[in-house]
Amino acid sequence: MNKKLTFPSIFFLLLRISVGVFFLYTGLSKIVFISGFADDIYNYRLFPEFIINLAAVFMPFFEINLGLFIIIGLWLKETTMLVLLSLLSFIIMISSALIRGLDISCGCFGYGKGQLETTMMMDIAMFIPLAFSLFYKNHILTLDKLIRKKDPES
Amino acid sequence: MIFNKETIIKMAVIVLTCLVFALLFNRCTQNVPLFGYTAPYKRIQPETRMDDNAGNEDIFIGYEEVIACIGNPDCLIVDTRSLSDYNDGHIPGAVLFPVYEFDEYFEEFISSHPPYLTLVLYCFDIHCDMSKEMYQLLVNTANYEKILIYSGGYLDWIERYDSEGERHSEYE
Repeated sequence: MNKKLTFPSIFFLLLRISVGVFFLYTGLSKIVFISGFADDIYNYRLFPEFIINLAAVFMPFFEINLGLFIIIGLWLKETTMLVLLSLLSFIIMISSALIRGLDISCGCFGYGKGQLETTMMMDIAMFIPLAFSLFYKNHILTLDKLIRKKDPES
Repeated sequence: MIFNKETIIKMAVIVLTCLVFALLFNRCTQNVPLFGYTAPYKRIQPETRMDDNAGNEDIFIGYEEVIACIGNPDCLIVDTRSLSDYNDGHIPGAVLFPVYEFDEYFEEFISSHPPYLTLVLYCFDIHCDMSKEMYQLLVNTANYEKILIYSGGYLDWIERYDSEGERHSEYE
């Protein structure tokens, strides 16, 4: 067990927990007022109106699910990829709003909450190490490993 | 190889599971229409926003008017922030009506507070939009005689409390 406790493994475990908690928090803060989140998405002026409500219904659950999965380490590679895709899309959306000079709230932490610049910095700060974690093989405390131990053939 | 068939299938399963749960949750709770976009309120037009100093200037009031409202039975101060913010501190006599939980609080608020009242809405400070959003919501949905916004918000109130604490305390 101790052999596995290297600096990278602990670093990536802490990273997983931080990102997971962040996603859980952002998802839960949006879920309480879906129409408000739809309004935040609308403010970006990036999407056609017919998908705004659907995105607002879907995204909080998506974030909560990703947050849970990345913390417990279930389907870690796939979850990490989806988290990276989400972060990348957030970064693109926020950058486009900043470039266009939109005076809007990010909507990342509930209706009307979150500054664009701050949130983009946070997204980038999570994105870079998480991208590296994709190529790291010895993650610790993951459900994937537990499943593999019980059923080595899977 | 990062992407392979199994990875893509697992990612699709995650996305579809979330979609199913999201649709179920929405159906059972807030029931937001899935296609299209329904604004939670009628948007305040830029020309009527406070920072532009144009349009509805007369709906914005200051500390003195709020003081006058506290002693007036025909006037009601409304805190548009969240319950936790309200519990952390609020203007004396203010009632809670969080703009983010408008639907949940609306009926009770309307039934407890008659339309002849003058409402004074406030939120955190001059930069927050909650009181303006609440103003627009109430203008569209309720029938109050007069709705005003305390533009300085709770921050202004607290600052005045520090400087005019003695006078302020008589209302608490």
